[in-house]
Amino acid sequence: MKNILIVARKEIIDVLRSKRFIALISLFIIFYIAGLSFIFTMGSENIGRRPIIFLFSNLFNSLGFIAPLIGVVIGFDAISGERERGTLKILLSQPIYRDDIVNGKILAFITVISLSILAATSISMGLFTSFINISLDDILRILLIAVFAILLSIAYYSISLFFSIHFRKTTHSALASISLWIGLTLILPILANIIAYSIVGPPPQINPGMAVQPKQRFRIFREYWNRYQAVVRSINFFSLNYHFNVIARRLLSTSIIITGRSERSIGIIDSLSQSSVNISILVVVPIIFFLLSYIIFVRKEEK
Amino acid sequence: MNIVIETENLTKIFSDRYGKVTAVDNVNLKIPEKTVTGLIGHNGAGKTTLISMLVGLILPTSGNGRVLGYDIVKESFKIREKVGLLPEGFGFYDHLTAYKNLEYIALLNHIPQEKIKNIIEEVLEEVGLKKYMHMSVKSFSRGMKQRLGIAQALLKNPDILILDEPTAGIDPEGALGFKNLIKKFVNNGKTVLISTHLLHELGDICNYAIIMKNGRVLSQGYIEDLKNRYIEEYGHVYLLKFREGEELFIKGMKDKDHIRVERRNSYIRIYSKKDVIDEINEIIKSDKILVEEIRYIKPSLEKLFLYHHFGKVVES
Repeated sequence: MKNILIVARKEIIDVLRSKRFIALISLFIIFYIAGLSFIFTMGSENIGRRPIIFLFSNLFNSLGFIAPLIGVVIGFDAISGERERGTLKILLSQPIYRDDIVNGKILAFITVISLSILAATSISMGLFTSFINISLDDILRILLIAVFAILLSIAYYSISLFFSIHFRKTTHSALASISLWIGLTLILPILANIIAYSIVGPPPQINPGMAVQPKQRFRIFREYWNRYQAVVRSINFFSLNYHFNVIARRLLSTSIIITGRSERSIGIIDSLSQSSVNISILVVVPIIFFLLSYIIFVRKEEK
Repeated sequence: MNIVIETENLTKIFSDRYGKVTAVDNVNLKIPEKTVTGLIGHNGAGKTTLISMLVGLILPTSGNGRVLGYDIVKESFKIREKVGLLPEGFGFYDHLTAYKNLEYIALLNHIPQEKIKNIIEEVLEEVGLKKYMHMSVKSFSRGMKQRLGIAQALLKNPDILILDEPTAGIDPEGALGFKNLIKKFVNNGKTVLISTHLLHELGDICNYAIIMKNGRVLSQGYIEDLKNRYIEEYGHVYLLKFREGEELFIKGMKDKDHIRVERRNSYIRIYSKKDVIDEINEIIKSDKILVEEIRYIKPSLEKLFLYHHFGKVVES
């Protein structure tokens, strides 16, 4: 355990000083500030009854984009960088178990990303409480989303770490990690829509001359939309970002309209239980990739 | 004589999609304590793979070995506690200072916090880097990094120091300092294993040698013993400087079996089987040749290596 902490301490300092991390955190802060400015320029009638939720639903969109990128950028050279610099040989020739190195790096990343996201979220909330009323329920929901953003980032880190162990060269690991990030974050959602369109076809055409009741028209469109969304969802299921977005959306949707008139409030536990599959995926993916990383790293021969 | 490193039929086969390569082939080693052992071989002889197995960086395919009594597979952690290794192709964290790099290594070796500063200063002093200890490693030359590598291996005050190609990139002055460092280390009762193919740089500090080729150990033992074995097998080399009668002497020698005579500058070099000195003296005496100087030459480590490597005497 002592060696894990020694490695983690050194890694935390390295990450916090790295230009890449500073650049990404700066970008994240810019997104936050842009989000805040956007909120202040909007009138209260456009924001709705729970402005804090409105605000954070915007901020978490940018977080869902940047948190994975931080995981990728910190993870892709975690081991391959050490290997290329020759420092891995020095490390492995010390009385240290190989899994201590991997554990130390994981612990460092979890510490850094948790502190960064929680600090950014808390500071933002702190700033907003000066202007807007915020309930305990809202605080809990926002903090929970921040925790899932951390999980999302850890999931991407675990995949990048796996690549950095599997590939001997950092360029290969970087290429694989960034391709995966671009693929899952940017390309897959577009691809999902293209595939859904090609499977389900164009929306149904109802000519103005046709005698179709508005109710029937609504049903036709709803059926079409449901089929379309089912395809999109099944393709997006392979994207970690999708699962984060689903969890965040459910946590931010505090009420549901029933039969078009009455509203029922959804508790945090309900929101979480509705997202249990998505949460499981965000938890299971890093576990799988961390395990694979351990197995490969322990068995890999460093000549 | 205590044996600190020994292996029995140690073998390492690397496999990939293109096939199998036997990097280390049934190696049986015995390295006595308090020796400076030269692990000698060309690139690809299996030296680095052998060293990597000794400290547990890679696992053997078959065979076994012990370092300081610890099994190289089951107790490699213990070995790494007591063995300082300078691996081939090592590196440092360039953005950190020499001190910070060594502090990290010291912490991993569980050196007590209150002693770390003194120990780091001590080893940096020994390798001549103390005045640069707060400089970033990024600004270090290759030779300085090499010396820092030796410093990290010395940090834990190891019982055995294993150095893989340690003088690569070191200037002549640095190489001299390195030799003095090794001598001092051995004088403290420690053992050193140096892997090298640069025999002219390290030959004079080694007193034990292991000669490798294609993953196999061709010969091993104290260098004096190896030289004597060489002499027994191949013969002596004499250098004779003449005042008079050189031509007559060469004529007298030419018809003899197992004697080869070469003229080099002002010397005649005679390669002969052992116990031929009496015959040479007989010719000198009977022909009344005036010899100014007779010198007997022992083979150098380089010559020994070439002899074992090629299976015959090769001029270096």
